[in-house]
Amino acid sequence: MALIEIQNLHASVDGKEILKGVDLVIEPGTVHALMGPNGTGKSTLSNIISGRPGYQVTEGRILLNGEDIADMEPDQRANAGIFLAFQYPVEIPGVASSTFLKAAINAKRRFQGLGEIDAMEFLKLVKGKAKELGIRDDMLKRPVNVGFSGGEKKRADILQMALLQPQFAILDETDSGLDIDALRVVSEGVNSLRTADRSFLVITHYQRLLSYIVPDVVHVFAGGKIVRSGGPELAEELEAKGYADYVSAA
Amino acid sequence: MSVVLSEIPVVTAATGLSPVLPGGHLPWLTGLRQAALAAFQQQGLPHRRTEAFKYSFAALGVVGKLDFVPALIAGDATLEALPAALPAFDGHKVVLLNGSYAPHLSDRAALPAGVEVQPLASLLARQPERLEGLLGSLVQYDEQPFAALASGLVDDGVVVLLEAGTVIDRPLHIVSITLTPGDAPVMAQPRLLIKAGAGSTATILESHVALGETETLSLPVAEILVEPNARLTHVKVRNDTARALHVASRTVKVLAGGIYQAFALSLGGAVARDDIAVELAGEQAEAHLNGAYAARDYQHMDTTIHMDHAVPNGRSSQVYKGVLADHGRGVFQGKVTVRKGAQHTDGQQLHKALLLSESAEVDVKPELKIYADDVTCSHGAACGELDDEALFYLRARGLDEATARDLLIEGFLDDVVEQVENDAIRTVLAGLVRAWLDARQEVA
Repeated sequence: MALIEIQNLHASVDGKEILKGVDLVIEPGTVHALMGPNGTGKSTLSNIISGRPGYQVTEGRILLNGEDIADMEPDQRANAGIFLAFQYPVEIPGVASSTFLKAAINAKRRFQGLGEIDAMEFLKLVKGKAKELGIRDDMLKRPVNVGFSGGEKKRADILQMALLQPQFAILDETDSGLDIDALRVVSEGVNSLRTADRSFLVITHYQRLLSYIVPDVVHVFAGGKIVRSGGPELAEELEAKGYADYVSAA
Repeated sequence: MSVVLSEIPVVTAATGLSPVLPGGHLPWLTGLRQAALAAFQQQGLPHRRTEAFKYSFAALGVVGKLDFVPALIAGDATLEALPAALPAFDGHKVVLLNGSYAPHLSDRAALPAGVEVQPLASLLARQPERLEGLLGSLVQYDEQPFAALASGLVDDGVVVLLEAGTVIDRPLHIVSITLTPGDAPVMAQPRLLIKAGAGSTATILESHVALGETETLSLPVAEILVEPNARLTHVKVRNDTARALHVASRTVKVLAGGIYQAFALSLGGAVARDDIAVELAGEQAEAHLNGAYAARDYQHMDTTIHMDHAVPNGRSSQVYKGVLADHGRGVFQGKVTVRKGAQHTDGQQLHKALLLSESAEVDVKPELKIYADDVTCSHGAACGELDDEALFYLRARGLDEATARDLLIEGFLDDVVEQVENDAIRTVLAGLVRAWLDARQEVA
């Protein structure tokens, strides 16, 4: 069974149709890249999958492990295994990163019928994963994303992913605002999470990220739907030719 | 319409009380009480033309309608142990019960040399000369009718005298408990006098708790003198029961190079007002007033500050944050005066409010009066609801809506609570904020 199956998804914001019939099947253990010009609905798709309020799905459906997620709240989707790495991770003054991470881990544990994580176990877990991602201990004490550089925010998001171990992760333009070193660290973090049953949807404008996170399938997204799909070579073709053909076609 | 004074029983009572109050034989003290009562009678309770009480006179109107009885007349309240509502805090402790020193609840045994913590009444009985010219020297009565009323009845409280160069190792905890002994609503006027001698360093935690189901009226008056190069940290916590009224006045004078660092956490009660006037009277003096408050139900919380830069090279800041739920109402009036010649003053002010309901209200009145031309002053006010972006970010990490909202509210307040440097006190404050949120959840 597919991990994610999107069927003829139509959606609008304030009465304006953004998604115009998206079909996408993602098998377990695969990495799909979604590429396309700006402003065509890529982020809308990621927001709708993760349950962000403010979007109206007018037609079609999204299945997670065969189950329609339409009625699930964003937190239920997260606990069921959907993770969104934000294009712009949000700053939350006054909430220590470690407090936030613990709350997120415990939310998932409750969902799984487990008790709260032991304080020592939590510290060990977080410090270990943080070190792998080059996140300093003092960043964990600081408020969530406050005063973090662009690269630090993205690394913090990947740390959350590493701790929550989702089944399906969407990376929404994770490469935007990253220098080459940060890009490598973030990509290695993602690659280390690739397993036979975990899948990724990598949304990006550029081919650059895909030379670090090599996809199994590449989709071209234009005019509110997927207009072409292919292998990794499609990303290179887009890099060479640009999106001009697709923009005019859409 | 002003309130008819003869209808306020406390005034009638107070006028006759003066001779029997502690230190009633001292002409200077009797003069002080009479002048204060006269100031109160002349002003009456705040009304719509009392500018300083512009947003709070209506909420405080209940004071003129209930027969508040001064604690001295109401009789002794008894309390065997410190109430659970009080922050558990390990430190030197002096407790006032309805404004009077409660020795059995206090612990002054381990105070270091150079630190004197005395009940006001006992000092007035034994060494009144040490208070003459100090007690009543800072308090202002202009548009401060409650400070005037409380000063007219001044009977007991806490006097803290720090000798020059003294350093208090552990914070001093001053506790004021208000509790109606019988059926009649009680009124108390806990007095606080602090003199931080030159170069001394101390941290004081001032806690106020009202108990019981009957109305109480607490009128704390604090006078604080920070002498040259002294560093005084003063944290006030108020955590009252539903029917408590609390109108506090504080006057602070900071001399050259002195630093006054204050924090206020305001929770519970029916109506609460914190009036803080600070004069930076010496060069290189600093005052930093930060605070957090959270009002729900029909609670009304008012913070009114006057920061007066009298001389050059002073620094001041104010950061206050308020959470208003249900029909809660917040008031923040912050005035900064930079007097003529007070050049190179740095004065900052910021108030942020979080409105959690359509019925909540906040009134903010910043006021800068600047008579010098080379200064850095700013004020800012922000008022809004919970950030949708942040809320979604947390929910996308698995936190249900209620938990996510609470974490954001807690973070909003903790952001300013973190300004408190003392770890133990900061932990107490954060715990009270968390308890406020948990109690709110139970009601919802």
